[in-house]
Amino acid sequence: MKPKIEEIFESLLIQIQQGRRVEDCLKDYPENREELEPLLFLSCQLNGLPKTEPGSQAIESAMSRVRRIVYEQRERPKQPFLKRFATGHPVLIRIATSVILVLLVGWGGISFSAQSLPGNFLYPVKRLAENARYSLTFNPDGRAELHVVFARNRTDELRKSFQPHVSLDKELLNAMLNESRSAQKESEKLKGIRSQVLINKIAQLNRHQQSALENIQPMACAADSAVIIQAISLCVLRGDCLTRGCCSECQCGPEPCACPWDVICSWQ
Amino acid sequence: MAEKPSLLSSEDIKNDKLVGIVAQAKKGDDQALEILCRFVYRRIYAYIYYRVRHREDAEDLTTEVIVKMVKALEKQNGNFMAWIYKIAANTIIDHQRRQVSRRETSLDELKIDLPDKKGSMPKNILTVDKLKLGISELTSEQAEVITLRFLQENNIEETAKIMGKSVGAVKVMQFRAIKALREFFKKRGYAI
Repeated sequence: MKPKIEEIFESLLIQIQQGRRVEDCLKDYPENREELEPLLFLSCQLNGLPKTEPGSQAIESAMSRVRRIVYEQRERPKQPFLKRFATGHPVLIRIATSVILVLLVGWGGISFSAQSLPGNFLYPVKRLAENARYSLTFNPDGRAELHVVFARNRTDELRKSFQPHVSLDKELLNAMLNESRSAQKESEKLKGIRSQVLINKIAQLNRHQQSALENIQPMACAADSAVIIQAISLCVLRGDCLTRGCCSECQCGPEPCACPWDVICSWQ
Repeated sequence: MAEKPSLLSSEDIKNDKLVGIVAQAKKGDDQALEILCRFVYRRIYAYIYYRVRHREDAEDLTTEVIVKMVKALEKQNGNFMAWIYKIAANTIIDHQRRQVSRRETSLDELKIDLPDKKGSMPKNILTVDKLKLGISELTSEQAEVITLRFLQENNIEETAKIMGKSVGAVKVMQFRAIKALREFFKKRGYAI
């Protein structure tokens, strides 16, 4: 393939630089001679121009300016690390600010939602935060503790949201009793003192739930009253089970009686 | 007391030595910074000289480049010479913009004393002033390639690195630039 004229020109420049005469170079490319000859001569003239030298006074004046700048840079009090970092890494700062903002908004939302009740617009945030907290807890001890906290939250929500002679939020009631059941199930995975501590907490929670239900039961509408009485009975049975030992070990009949902690509440 | 670096010591610094001097200057070594500044001054002055009208402009702009270099040296990374030529190129562009905004005389009305106009210099001799006039007619990239390749004698690879272009692109640009320069001289009646 025929080399391009730009390639030929460059290779001839190198040859001339190495000492070859322009005339000899052009003999290799007779077909391009007419075009290349004036360009090569001009290139030679460019190379042959006297070197431009700056005046020594100009250099010295520049150097004294440089010395002054260096002196000023050294004398200037150093900016605090954060300011230097901020000016040097604007993108990082923007990302960090966004992250902090998101965290602040998230943390604020979660804090405000802590007191929310079912039906409030922040209530889903509260439940979402609980789920996230639970998903990020991996040991049975922590998970059992969380179930206790969630069960207590549901109990308080039920107590606060209850209105006399208005239909009871059954979903909340189910959630309340099922959370304490989950706490008890998690506690079974634990051994020794931690298990005992947790059982005490669950017993306390159970009493708290029983007392909350007993408080609202007289004011409940007729249809809900029966459900609340059943729930109270369940709490009594669960309490008994915790103080006297598991029902599977009791000697009340030929077959072990059903454990109240196995009951999953689903009142409609 | 440390001996003041002579002008000669900064005249030509080989690339491997330059890397060390730049590193020392970044660490705050005054002597290394002085050598570096003097070296850069000479290189950049020659680069700027052909792109502006007056010697004084070239000196002022070169000083401006040196000042910018000193201020930003700490943050510099990558190829030092490519970086410094980039600063110089931007400084020239800024200068040319300022010139345009001042509505100065057109390039044809330059008050450059062309010796051949006075009849003292034969028309077939290329002079610095003729070349300056010719370069001023080229595009910015063509002017840059002529300066880097022929007047500063960088090889094609160095020129490509400084300009941030491929070797092939620089070969094409160089050919077109020299052709455009030749055309300009031909039109002006200079038998160069």
